[in-house]
Amino acid sequence: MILSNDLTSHKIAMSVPRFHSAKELPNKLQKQILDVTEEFKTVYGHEPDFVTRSPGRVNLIGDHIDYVDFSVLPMAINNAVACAVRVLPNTEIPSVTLINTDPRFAQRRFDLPLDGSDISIDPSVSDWSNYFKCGLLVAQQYLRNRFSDTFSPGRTLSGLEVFVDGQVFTGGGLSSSAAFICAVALAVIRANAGPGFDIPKQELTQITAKAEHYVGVNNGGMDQAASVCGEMDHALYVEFKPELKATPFMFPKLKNSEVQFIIANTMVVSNKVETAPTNYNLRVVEVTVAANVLAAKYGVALERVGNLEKGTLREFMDAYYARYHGAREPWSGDIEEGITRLTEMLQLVEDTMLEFSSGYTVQQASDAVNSSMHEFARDYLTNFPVRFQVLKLYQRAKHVYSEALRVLQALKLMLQKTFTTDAEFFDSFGQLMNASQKSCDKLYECSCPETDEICEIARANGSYGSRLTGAGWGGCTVHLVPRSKVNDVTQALAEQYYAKRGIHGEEIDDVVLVSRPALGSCIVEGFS
Amino acid sequence: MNKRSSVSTVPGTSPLRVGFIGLSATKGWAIKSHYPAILQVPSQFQITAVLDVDLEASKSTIEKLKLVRATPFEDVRLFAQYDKMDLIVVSINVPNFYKVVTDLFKYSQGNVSFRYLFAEWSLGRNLQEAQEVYRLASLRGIRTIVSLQGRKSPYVLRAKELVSQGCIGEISSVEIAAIGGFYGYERPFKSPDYLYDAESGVNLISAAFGHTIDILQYITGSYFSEVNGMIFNNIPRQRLVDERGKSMDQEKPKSAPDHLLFQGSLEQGNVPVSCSFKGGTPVKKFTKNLVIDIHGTKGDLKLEGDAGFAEMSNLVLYFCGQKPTGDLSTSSAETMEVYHLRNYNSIVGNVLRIYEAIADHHFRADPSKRLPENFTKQGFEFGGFPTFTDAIVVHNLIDVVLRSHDQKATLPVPMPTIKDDLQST
Repeated sequence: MILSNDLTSHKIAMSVPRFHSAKELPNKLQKQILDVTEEFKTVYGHEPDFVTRSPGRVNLIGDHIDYVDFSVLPMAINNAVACAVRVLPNTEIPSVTLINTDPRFAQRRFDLPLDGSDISIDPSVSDWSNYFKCGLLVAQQYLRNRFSDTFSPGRTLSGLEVFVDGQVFTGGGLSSSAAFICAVALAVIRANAGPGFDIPKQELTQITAKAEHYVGVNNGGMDQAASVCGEMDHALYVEFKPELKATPFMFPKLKNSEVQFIIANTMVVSNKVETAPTNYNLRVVEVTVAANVLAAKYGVALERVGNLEKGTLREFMDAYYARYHGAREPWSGDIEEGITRLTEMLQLVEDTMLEFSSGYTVQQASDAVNSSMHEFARDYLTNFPVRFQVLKLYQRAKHVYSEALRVLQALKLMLQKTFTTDAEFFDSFGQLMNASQKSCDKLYECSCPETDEICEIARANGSYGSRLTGAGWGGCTVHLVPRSKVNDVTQALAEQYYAKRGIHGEEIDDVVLVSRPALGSCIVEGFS
Repeated sequence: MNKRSSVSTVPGTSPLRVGFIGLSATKGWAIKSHYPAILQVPSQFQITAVLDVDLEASKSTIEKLKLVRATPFEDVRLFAQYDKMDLIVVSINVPNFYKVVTDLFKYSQGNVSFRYLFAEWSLGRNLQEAQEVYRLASLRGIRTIVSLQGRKSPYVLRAKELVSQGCIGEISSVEIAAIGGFYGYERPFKSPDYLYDAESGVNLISAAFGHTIDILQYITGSYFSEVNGMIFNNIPRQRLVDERGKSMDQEKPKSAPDHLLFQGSLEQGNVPVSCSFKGGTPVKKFTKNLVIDIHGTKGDLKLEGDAGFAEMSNLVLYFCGQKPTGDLSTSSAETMEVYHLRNYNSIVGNVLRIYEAIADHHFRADPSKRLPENFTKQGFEFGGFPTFTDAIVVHNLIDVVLRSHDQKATLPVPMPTIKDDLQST
């Protein structure tokens, strides 16, 4: 993983920042640290050793393309998961106790294997402690590699008392799970490597990127990169190929207005794990099959990369360009070249799949990749539980290539130095967001009526661009709004959307966030 | 999907105290399954006693596993009288089971803390032993649990869900093929002799068939009405092989069966069921070692495994048929589902789920999982845990299969003698 300074004027710290008291943090973030410390004291009867914090993120544009290795534009937000932690002395059987502020997440306690072996995670159960175990497991593997002399095989981790406070909506598309996993991995490394070890952001991102695979969610690495590498006032350009890379950048300086993003929760809870067989993981399968259908049609071979190790749509683009345009190298990420290639890919999707626009049955999909139904099931359907009637390869591939194209256009706008008028930026960026929403809704089918309703209200009251963010199927929406219109949009949502759902007054602040890009993961020491 | 987040697994009261018969830090089944399962629920279960053949063995296990709250025992009488145990787990060789458990009941008279007995499948060498153990447990009025843990496999539960939601319509026929493991042409030289002795009660029929047929009854929600069995011993002598599978030019006799042909009909719908259980090596070359293939009027469902033991294998479930309830999609095509959990540890996981079910019952954490007052068997319910009554049903079925073979006849499956009214308060 690379944390790149290419696009930013100020130098970025490469290690997870360490604060020696909550007061060193930006004002907005202090309260959560002080609260979680206080609550830790109340339940455990003594001070924690330290607090780790990792924020949620909002993806501005580029949804459902990270797992096919196309770049995305997220930013960390102020809302974070904080873990107050006390490291237990090594004299007892190491056990982990987990307590959460939210009563929906009941207390947990489990022992760590005495032989230092990996803890087991049951992916068939939906339990919040599973996410903790994901963070613990990748941190343990990291410690074994990083400190191979002291973390000999057979050494167990220290026991922990943990109090968790999550200010990121769960099932809200703001990646509470990645924020939690990053905060936990950070805590476990800090607890076992001691306060003297500076944890490189690049390594923390690397190990947490695929941690969620242990609970059966086949995600990319966007959420973790954004949570760990977030910088104040910087959004991130996250690339996955040729390597996972995060490049912070600032929004363009406009003449008379300031760029703001409003995040509004639909209140429709979307749990990626529980609906994965028909939603999230099924999409991963569909885009993988789509890549292989294209590869079969154009007679190219895909390398065994991607989440199913069966090649990706990006892989197909490179293979096609190598064979038909003599491209020696895979696409480097160059914006103009990318726009050319993605435009051609969209045409190939039309040529190949339009006749199956109502979806491929298993038999049709097997035929299209030249395999038997038996081989098809083994190769594409046994990685994660999936359930479907047909595979909508045409729609999914079209979404991925067009969304990847929109990200490049969005990045161009973000990097443009000057605009003739402020409206030029707002109009252009907003249109990309609106087109993205349409594609998510019609082609990827990951929107929902509530999302559509919020987007319409926002657009009618001053938003230039409104779309879902995160996996979709409920969760949050994001809206591009000049600062002067923030109140109008918030008020319209309060009156026309939230009032109907019994949310009034100050409660609105809990479901509508106005966020600037915020600080990523950090550790706060100095409590005892 | 099994949701647990909001249910507290850390009870307000003290954990269930577990006395273990058959836990050794170095060998056996319990250290591979029960122990890692208990590690994951330490706030509900705490090992307080370990009984082994000699005191040194018990002490060594306690020391190696750092069971700081456990007392070592070598004498079943003293162990049975120890009053700091709520749950006794028996995980020992089946031939020794009957003697140990009858002693346990004999010497634990008056030990009021002993309220749960968790035994491995099977409950003794034959139906008679199992019924006696069942009778003793009923007289004491304790809760019994049997490790027919296939019922807790996520694959079995998903299959049961699909069947009960009508996704395959009415079941029209079933085929099962499995491999028993030890009963082929070769056997590891370290393998204990009792496994190959027809009298020990541990064999292809009790183990592979017992677990698998219980799973089938559980998924379909039906017991058998009549059955026919043919039992083979075509391999009376087996070649010994070393740890690397190399032949050692030695042979040992085998009286236990090496093949079972079983056919029968399910009570519900008179469904034909056809089973072939192969003893062991060589394994099949073109077919999975475990296949449960269920055909319905509106769809099909198949469970497949690379290892023959459904109760402790990571399986793959294939389904094609009607939409499950709650699926609002408008497509007219058939629903296809492939269910496989790549990282699921089924050896620990299935046993862990039995412990979780015991805890759910004991600590009454989750109102939706509360057992009915008169809970004596799990039967075909999703919740709860299999009891000795469920075990007797399987023992009884096996007994009919053995008689069918002896008499060369198709036999009805009578209701086993289960005297639930013996359960005292």
